Amino acid sequence: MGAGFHGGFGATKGSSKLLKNGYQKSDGRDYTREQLLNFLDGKTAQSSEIADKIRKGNIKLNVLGDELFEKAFGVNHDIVGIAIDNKIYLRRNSASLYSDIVHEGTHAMDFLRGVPFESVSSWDGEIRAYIAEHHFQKASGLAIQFNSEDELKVHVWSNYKKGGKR
Amino acid sequence: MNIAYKLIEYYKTREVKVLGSFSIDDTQNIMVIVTEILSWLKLERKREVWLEQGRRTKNKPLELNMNYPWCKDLAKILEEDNSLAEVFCINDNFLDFKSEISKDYIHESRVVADEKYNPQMIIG
Repeated sequence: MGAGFHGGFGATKGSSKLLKNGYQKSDGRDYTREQLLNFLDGKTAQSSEIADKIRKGNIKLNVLGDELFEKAFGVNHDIVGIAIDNKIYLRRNSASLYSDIVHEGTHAMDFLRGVPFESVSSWDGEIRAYIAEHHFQKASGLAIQFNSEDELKVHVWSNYKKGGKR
Repeated sequence: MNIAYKLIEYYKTREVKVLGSFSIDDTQNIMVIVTEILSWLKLERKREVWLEQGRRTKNKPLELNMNYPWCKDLAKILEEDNSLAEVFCINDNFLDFKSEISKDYIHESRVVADEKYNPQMIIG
């Protein structure tokens, strides 16, 4: 497992290509937008609500190739997700794309709910996003990044600034 | 006061009274409407600059998807008496300034949005 942030599973191997109506992950499978959202449905209340908000256009899901992602935001390969207001930007070939949607979607949900930016971008905001991701991973049978919520919090405390930004 | 200042004020305070009275009470949809309009105005300012630089582009209205609840709410808001309805209208699922709004006002809206609407990134 790599050190990807928001703590995804690091850089993925293999190539990916843009498909007209969907994405191809590093495992070689093709995913449409609806397939991605369908996987979120019913796993946790948060993942279901995020999928619903994306379908309704309240959260804008943007899945980008590595080069465009890094060029657009000036970030390195460690960064797997970014949230700006109600818009989320993810790497198309991330091995943890489903979890990435839940993590960044949680930041977007915070924004929509009126949580102040200072909180969304702080340790509290990151811990909320990681916990939502953690519960989703457990509920959906995906690889679990942290063994416990305490381990998760240590990760946030060690890698994020208390008041926001890394 | 230019509508862009009011949109920025709502973005910061989330107080609907800044924009006038709405029958819509879904605060999340209102916030989406405000951020979408501000993002569009900011992009429109960039297009103005690109045009000044001789690049091949043009100013465009904001395309709406009427399957989205926030777009339906926007349409309702524009039928009511408020600050948004004073300057914006929808034609064929595109939001744009009303034809009677001056070019100077539109330009000011774009400049204000470009300067004042600077959402921060949450990395990771």
